[in-house]
Amino acid sequence: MRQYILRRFLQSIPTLLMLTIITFGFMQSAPGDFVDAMIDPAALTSNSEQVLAEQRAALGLDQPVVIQYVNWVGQLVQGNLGYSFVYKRPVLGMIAERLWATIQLGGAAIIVAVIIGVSAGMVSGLRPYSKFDYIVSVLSYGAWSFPNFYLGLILIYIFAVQLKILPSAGMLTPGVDDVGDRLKHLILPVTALCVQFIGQFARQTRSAVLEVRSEDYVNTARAKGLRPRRITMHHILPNALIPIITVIGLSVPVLITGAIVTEMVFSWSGMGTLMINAITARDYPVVMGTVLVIGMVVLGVNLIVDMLYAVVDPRIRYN
Amino acid sequence: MTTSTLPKLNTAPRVRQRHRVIRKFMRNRMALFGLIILTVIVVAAAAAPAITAQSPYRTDLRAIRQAPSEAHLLGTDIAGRDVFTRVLYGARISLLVGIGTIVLYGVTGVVFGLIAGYYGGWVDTVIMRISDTLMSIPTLLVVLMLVTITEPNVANIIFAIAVSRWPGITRLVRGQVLTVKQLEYVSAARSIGASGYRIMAVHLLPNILAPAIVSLSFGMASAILAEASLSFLGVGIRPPEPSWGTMLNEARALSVLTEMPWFWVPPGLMTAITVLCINFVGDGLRDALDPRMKEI
Repeated sequence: MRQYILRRFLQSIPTLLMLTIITFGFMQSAPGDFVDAMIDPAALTSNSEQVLAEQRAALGLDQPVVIQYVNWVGQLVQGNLGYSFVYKRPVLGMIAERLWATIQLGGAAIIVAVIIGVSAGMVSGLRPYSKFDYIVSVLSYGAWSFPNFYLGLILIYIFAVQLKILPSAGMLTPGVDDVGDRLKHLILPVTALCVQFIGQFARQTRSAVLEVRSEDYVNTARAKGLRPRRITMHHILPNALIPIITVIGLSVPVLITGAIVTEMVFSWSGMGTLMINAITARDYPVVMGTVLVIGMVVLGVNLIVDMLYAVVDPRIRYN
Repeated sequence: MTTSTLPKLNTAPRVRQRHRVIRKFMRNRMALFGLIILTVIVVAAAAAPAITAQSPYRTDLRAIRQAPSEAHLLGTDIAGRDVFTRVLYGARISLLVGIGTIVLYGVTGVVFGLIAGYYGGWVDTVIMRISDTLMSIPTLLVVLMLVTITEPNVANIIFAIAVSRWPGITRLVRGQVLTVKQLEYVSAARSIGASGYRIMAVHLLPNILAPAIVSLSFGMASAILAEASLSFLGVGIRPPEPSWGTMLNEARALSVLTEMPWFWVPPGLMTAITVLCINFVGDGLRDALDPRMKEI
């Protein structure tokens, strides 16, 4: 067990390194840099090239690429993600401020999606081809295809504009700072984000339950006269839920993607808005920082999911 | 060539199999429904200039923010452009992105998958390592990085989405190749001296294509969604190009959202319908081509 975890851990290091190289490479090949973007072409005079060069040197943009990369990784290891070109502030600090907001949004969405999706899927799987199963199938199909930002706009239109019962944007009402107010601000973004996952989790749970239901040990349990309730609770569900761990783990990258878009819809000041704004402003250090942190979160989650899976299902460890 | 001296191959079983696939697909009501709606959308997109006489770009400052009327079926947007026309032309962009993306990454993914699976060794290691890394980064991040460094136009969006998607196909194809290449007919082909290229193109490719086609059909739906998301975020297709996502981006302004539902409801609805129909077709293809594949 310990060996498996160690091996799995070591495997993620080259991937992490590749992630830094790709991130860095992408940003290096960007046309133009921050200095170009900030100077009004009309204001350029004869000696402004020198000013530009000084600016570049001050920001370390004149060094060879490899050196820039090594410098960057060296700083990275020490927890320094560089400084924002635009705000002249440490990127790590900017991300730290925003990370919690994204975790709140994503975490709440995934919890809601798991609770609703898995329960709906279980009932569907236990009563396949029933009316309930049919409704769940149709709804999860629709949810899978529905653009989440469009859903967000519709929710704002209905609940904030027409009914005026929920706030349309932001994380809290300025001046009012209590839990109830924050929860109210969470409802619409979480709904917009979690709907597609509810559908996905429901479908996956349903097929897992269906598969386990026809296993030999379930037939054995039935043959020896156990009550159906006991068979469901002790034989079917625990085994059907194992693959769901992987499904939830795999959905984390998609969840983060969805969170970026949802944050933009609801002006949620999390990592997503930070990143998109940085892309628009060509604030490379912030873009690299956010990509890197998000990539590391995904790698970390994959690692945890694999380990959990090995704990729950001993067959994995010896593969 | 030596092939002319060989007896002509009996192609009847292959034709029969194709008929069986089509019949099975046609029996799936949702898939057929999806295909019909999709055909309507494709035809409407192709015949856009015949359906509407207006230009999707022409602004009319005397007629901005107008509600639907006879002159403007779905009203006009904030610059006085006809919404119906823009939605119609928007279908062109969505379909172009969808089809362009899956062709690009389908071919790339299948070729890499064949090579990795067939040759194995270090080629396999390199290809799989790269694809593992790309897969461990959320798709949108890869796309966002790529659109940051390139001009945001249709070709670059297609390229960006394709770059992030080929690893999935490569893995799928590689897995299939690993199984199929153990089969006797492949050994037989090798023993009579068939080249690696010939074995891959003639013997492996037709037998590993079904799952890739199914996956690509779902990939088309998600590519269309990806383009809409990017354009919605303001880093995809730029206005005044009539992309559905770009139109929805304008609805982020509260005044547009509140006062002009006729403007932002149709593009979103069209995105959802298109994506849903493609997914229906994909589902039908999956059932018809490969009954063993249940969930993707």
